[in-house]
Amino acid sequence: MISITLATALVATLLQGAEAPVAKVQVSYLYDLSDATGPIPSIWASLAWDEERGELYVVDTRANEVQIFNQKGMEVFNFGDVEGLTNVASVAVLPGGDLLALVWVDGQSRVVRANFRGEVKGDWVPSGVPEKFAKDFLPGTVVVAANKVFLADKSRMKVLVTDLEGEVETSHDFAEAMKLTGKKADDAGMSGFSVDREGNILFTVPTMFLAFVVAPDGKLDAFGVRGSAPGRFNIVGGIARDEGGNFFVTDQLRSVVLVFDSKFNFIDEFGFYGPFPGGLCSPLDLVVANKKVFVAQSRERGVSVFNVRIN
Amino acid sequence: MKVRMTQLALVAATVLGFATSAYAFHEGGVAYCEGCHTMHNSYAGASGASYAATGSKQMTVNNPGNYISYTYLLQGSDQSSTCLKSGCHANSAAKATSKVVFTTGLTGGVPPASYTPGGDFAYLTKTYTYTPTYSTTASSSVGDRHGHNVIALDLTLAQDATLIAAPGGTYPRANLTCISCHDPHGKTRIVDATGTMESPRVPTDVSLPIGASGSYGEEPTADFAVGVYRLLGGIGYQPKSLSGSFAFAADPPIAVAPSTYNRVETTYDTRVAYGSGMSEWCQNCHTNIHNDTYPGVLRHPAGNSATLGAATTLAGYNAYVMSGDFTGDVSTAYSSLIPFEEGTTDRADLVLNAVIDGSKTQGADSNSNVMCLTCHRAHATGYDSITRWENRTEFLTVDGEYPASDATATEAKYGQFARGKTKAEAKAALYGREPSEFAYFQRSLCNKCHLKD
Repeated sequence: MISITLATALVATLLQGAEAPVAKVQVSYLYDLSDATGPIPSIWASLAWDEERGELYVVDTRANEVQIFNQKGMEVFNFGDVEGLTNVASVAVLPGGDLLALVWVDGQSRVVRANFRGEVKGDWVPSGVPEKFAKDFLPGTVVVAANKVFLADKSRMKVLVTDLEGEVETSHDFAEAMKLTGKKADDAGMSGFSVDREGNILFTVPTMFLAFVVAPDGKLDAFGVRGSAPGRFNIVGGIARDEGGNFFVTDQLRSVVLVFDSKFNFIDEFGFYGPFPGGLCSPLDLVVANKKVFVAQSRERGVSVFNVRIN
Repeated sequence: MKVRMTQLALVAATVLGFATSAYAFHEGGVAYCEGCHTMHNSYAGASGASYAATGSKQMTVNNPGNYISYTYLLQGSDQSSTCLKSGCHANSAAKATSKVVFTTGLTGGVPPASYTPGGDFAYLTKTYTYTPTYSTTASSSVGDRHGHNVIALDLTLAQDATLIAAPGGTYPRANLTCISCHDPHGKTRIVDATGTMESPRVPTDVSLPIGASGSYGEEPTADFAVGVYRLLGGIGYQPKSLSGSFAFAADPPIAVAPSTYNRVETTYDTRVAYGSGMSEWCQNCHTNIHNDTYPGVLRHPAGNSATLGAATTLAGYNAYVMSGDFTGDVSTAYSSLIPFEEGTTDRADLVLNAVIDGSKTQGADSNSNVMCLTCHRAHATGYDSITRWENRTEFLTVDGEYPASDATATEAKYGQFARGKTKAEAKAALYGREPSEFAYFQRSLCNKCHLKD
């Protein structure tokens, strides 16, 4: 049974623009992720958070590197371009510290399991894959959350959900479910994709100017209003959720991070365009953890870290 | 655990209803203004001086010195960076029919993933290095040479490192961006079935409003016009950011593309039906390269009057199959690797040929003409000088496979043939075609017309 709260959510979102926000966000820029030589440049790296160790994994596909940063934002390790672990597109941290790394080989993606040093332990192959996902499914993103593994083909808006061993539990074809056909299907596609601690799937579709939240039972909510004013989506990007249930969404064009509460009410936004410390350049992927927001950007700005407090 | 598929149909209807207008961004003409611009440039009420001086949070600033200004109240850092955003015209992985023209995050050995007819700008970032067998000195096919060097600072795309202006012209490299060719406001429109174009500019001009994109064959009506092909700039077009006299003298070409166009061509070609006027339009910037009066002017023919003609080139195009095989038939002679203009402005005719299912494979006729895009792509390719195939080596295939650093045959690995590409890259640069589509030792595709092999 699917309970529909979308209409309610949309009405709430539309009405929200007429109300003054009841909470504000206090933000301070901390630093850019660095190594001993200084800030590490990258363009639109993908991020993954290790909840147990409080470390951030950064996948820089251009450099063919996976970088690991401690809680002070310093790189403590990196690996890349090793046998079995070349062309890494995405990583996710399993309970216990092992990684699932999604790699590209000859135009196809596959997942390997490795330890935190990038030493491959073997292939990780999902089982019980529905026939519909046996072809025309090219995942480029892997996420581990709520003791499940999520493989996402963002272009086709398809997601496979498995247990930690790879046994498929659920599959989603959001384009089909939304009856997106023809040019609408072609123009659609996820930009940001993440999964919160409760297993809710979060994703954004820039051409629809919407962010979506899909609960484990399939209930779907969407929020977002198109525009360039504060609180509005222009070219929406990454999405993440903090421990308090607040949503954080990047806008690539406005170069801001928007903050919404758990009921999709706009709280505040922070950031402004600037290729210098404290500024944001077309922010995309982000992670929110321990009152910090890690934001991956373009223009070789790497990943900037902000301290965030919501009143 | 039982596998289940989520059912979101009811929600889908609501989402679609809400988002109906969300897909109408360009739609053949100017999009909604705040999609690219900021109206008041006062972030949360903090208007005023530049970031550098006061740290105020304006969306745009005026040339603060250390980075490129983005005046014109653009939200993006520069014109191309505004277009090439992830989810719009850039992405980490393209898919069929998508409008992505720049693949982000490429590692060495991985080819760009966008297969639009115009090409993937990510080739500008791909430098292929190799050492010929006859030398100990490494050579390179530099990324800078692979495409139009649009400046997009957010993606670290810089101006051309070598050419200071358009070849054959004077258009300055420092001003080359997406909007050098594409009018972001899409003013030029097709107003009737014969392809008449209008670009209302002065206050007294009157024309029809643009109601749809014209790139896929939709026809104008008495009530609305359609946009020109790919929102290309029309007569009089010159970006405000470019000073000097560079206004276009020629209107965009008449052409129709299939709506699904970003795809590999392993099985069937992506046939864009080019009608007329492409070379004349390229001449807006490449002033002295266009020629349709050969041999009166000693440049390779390209233009509306540069018809293949009834002589050798027409017969050759239709007969050519591959190196050493000239037994082809006109009914199957077409190749999207070497396209031509059909010599017509009748878009109703052209749309019938804009297919991806292999149903239209007929070759050229006496009205067909050579154009710039017969040999080049508009955006970028895996080859120097934005050619559609490798022109810096003798062979496109060696011993039946693509020459590549990881080829099987020894000779196919020779640096001078492989030119720094892997097999995957070599295949991708030819849009996914298998080497078996060519001869065992395939030579340049100039021979499609000239049959010298």
